[in-house]
Amino acid sequence: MIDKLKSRVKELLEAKTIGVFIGYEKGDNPALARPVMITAPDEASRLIYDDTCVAMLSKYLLKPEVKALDRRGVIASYSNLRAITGLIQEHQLTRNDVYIISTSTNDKITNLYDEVIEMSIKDYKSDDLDKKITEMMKLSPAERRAFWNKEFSKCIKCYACRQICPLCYCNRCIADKNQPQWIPTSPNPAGDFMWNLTRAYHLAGRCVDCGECERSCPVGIPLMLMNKMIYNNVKSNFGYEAGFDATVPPPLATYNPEDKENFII
Amino acid sequence: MPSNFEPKIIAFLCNWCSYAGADLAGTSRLKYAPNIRVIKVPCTGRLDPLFLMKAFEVGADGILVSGCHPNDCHYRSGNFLARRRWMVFKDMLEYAGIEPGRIHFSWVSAAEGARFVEVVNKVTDAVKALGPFGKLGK
Repeated sequence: MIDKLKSRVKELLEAKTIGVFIGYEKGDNPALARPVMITAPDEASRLIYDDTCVAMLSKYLLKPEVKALDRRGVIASYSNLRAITGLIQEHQLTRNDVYIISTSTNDKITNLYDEVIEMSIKDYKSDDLDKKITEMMKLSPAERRAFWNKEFSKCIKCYACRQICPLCYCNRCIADKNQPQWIPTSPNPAGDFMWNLTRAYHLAGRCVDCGECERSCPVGIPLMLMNKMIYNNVKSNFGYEAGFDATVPPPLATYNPEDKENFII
Repeated sequence: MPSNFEPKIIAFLCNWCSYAGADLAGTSRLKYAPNIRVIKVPCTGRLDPLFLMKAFEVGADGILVSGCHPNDCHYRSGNFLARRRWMVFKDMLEYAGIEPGRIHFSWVSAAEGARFVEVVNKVTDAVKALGPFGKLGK
């Protein structure tokens, strides 16, 4: 199937349907493919697609230097498709900006891709987290606080989670603002807590469950254990899962007068 | 927990309803627990959840957020939007180990001085029962 991808990309570039194709090539690290921008038809032969192709490509769609090469083609796994849906929904992209080659057909995401070249790689799965979250909720608040303090205290404020997150695209992040400084910049207990909870909350109703933040975290904080709880919470409160429908507003940017309010005293 | 523990509670009150409600409680000479420090905000919809986390960071033991009753918002939908955010936010805090009794939300109108007193006393009792918050991240 990789040959089909190579020849399709070559055709698309030759026909000038796209100006750039974002895919993967073999990098220095044998365990991790390197994202690559192909602009010349002959270079399409560099493309690979296997289990080492895990980095999210949707992030590159927003880079100014890539935008300049319009129209952008991309190979999109399931997670990538959802991320791109989120970006379209939040007006960072229009559907016409991107030419999407999906690696799978999916009933839940309809009409989002231009063509399908079926190739299966192992995709991130967060299903086993639900059990862990239930276990977490059985602990006392003090135990949970101790757990998260221990985890967050590992944070070195490298912001890799933010850099890799497909839905984190602000030009100026709240964590970089210092007037006023809402989030302490140094790796201290309060700063670690503020940063990690703020990041998690910013993804409420927007997280597409791709697991990239946790994968990229150099100190191994179980970020998805936090994100998935919020994901499930939004799903049960508002019946909403991000990354499937670009035409509806994100749940925390809208309201329903009939929302439950049993928590209000 | 020291028996004479007096919690510090930060109360974010909306300009149009709850702040006026607190004012009415004052001009009516109603007595209530002196533990709240009031911060007036234009609307509960203006509250970034960061404000609430910051309050904990700088030493609050508890938080009260109070705004207009549904359909009474000066800006029409600020409190509806805020309500949605709080639903997720309070669950996230609880999951992170901050007891649910430390953060409270209420609707108090400008005419409800007595209700304001009741809310503040209730919140103060709840936070008192939990003891000091300690330091965020510790």
